Amino acid sequence: MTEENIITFDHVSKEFTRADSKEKLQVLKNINLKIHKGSIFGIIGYSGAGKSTLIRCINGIELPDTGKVDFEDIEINHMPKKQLRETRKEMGMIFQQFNLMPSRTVFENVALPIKYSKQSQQQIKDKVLELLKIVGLPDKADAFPSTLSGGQKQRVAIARALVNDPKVLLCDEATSALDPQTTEDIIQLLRRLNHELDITIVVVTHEMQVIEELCDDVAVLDKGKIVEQGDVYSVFVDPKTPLTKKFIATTSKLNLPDEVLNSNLLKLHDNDLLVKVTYISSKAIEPLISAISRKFNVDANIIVGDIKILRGKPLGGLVIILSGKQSDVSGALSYIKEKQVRTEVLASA
Amino acid sequence: MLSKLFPNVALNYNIFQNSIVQTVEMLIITGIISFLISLIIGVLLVVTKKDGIASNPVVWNILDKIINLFRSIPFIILIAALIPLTRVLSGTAIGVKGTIFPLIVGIVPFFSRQIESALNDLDQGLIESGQVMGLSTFQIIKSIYLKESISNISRVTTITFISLIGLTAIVGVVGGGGIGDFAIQYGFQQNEQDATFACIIVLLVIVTIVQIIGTLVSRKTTH
Repeated sequence: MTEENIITFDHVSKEFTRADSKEKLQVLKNINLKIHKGSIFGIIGYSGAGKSTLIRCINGIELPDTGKVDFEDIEINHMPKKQLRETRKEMGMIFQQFNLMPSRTVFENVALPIKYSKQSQQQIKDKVLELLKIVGLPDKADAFPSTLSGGQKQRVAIARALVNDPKVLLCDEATSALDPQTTEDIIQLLRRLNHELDITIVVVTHEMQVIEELCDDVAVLDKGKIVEQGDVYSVFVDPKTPLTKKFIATTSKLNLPDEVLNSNLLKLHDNDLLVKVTYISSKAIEPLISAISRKFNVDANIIVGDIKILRGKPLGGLVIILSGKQSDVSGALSYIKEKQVRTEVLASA
Repeated sequence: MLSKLFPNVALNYNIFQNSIVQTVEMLIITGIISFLISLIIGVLLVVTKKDGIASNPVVWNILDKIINLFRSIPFIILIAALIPLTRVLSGTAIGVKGTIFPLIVGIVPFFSRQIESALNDLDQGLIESGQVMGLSTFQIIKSIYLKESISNISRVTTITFISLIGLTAIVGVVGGGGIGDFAIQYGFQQNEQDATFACIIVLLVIVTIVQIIGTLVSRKTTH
């Protein structure tokens, strides 16, 4: 991955006037973003946060009121119409609802963006069939979209988005209408395309799982404002804002609900402490557990564990009950706190 | 058999036959011309509306107001009002030749609204995907609006043609020829009930044929 930026947002703001009340609604507030060439950039937020507007500023479907959006150092929002159309051909886009043309076959759908190009029929045919092979649907060329499953429809949409050999692929909630397994498949496909075609991918989603499994960088959008951004690993291990924490909580099993915390399932005796230990670097936690049991003569009882590898680095942690003599328990706790892990006491006896 | 059930029709069989031909003639000529005009107006209404792909409030407002104006005039009054203009354009205000112009003016506003709603029914996402592909306005109209609405357009065209059959009968009142004229002259003015019934049967057959063709086209283009 080079550090060259392919898309930059520079102080971008946009308002909508609501038709019913004439009330002005600020959808984007002073957005600054840099998207590296060849990376997968994720934008996460709840519905209504302005994600869809934000991604549509990249291909000029929406135009900012103030600020500018650059694509390869050319400003998108003041381009003449014709140049904008040509630029759009360098950016493919896929949607939550796939938006395939129901009256056209899969082949005709994928061929539509190059239908009016100067390419010969044979060139178009070769290109379309090659793309259908890449997305894993080589035998569906003559099928109609209505006969395909959601995942297959999205694959066709991806093939269609790639037919102009774009430099960027914009994904607007591309997996939100799909079941978990299909979401997984589409994520794998997008990763592969990013790798093999060296295409920059911008993803808008409300699912943290998509960010976790797909993206290199992430921006968290809340009510039109970017509240946090950074590379995915750092944001996951050290989220700063409550919203980001909330999103990350959806992907972690370490967050015990209050009912569990207050229930008899977790019986704490005497000096027991319920402690959550999470990674903030690649330093392993497991040896730490055995170290404290040896050093301080405490029992470390693992209640929940959720450790996964994200971009080659461990992520997640353990929830444990520390029990033993008061001095030993507090000694163990301060020992863990000194190490490169985050420690949080959830409950004490 | 004809002379038994429909004695008065049998008596004027040639005139009856001729009036069927006239009605079919009116339907085909007016149908084709008004279809083309309405398609253009319908497309213009959809693309120039607010948030349309070639938004133009001035054009949209003018079209919108003109259509509303003409739709509010009852057809029978419209025919009368148009007589001077019809004379200039067709050279006559009676007979099939004299009915084409008022029929077109009468049906186009309704037809345009029908086309407009057929096109507006199209999933907005399809239009957007055309825009993100970098298609031009004309290419989006041709390859998405029209192509993907064929089934809807054929449905509203069927509805409109059935209304048009009604209008072709009304022009009979002012001597426009066709089945309506026959029903008025023989059925109504000479009180020959069987002539009126014969006209109803013919109109029923025409409506059924139009409906069957419409349904067939619509089914053939839906996947």
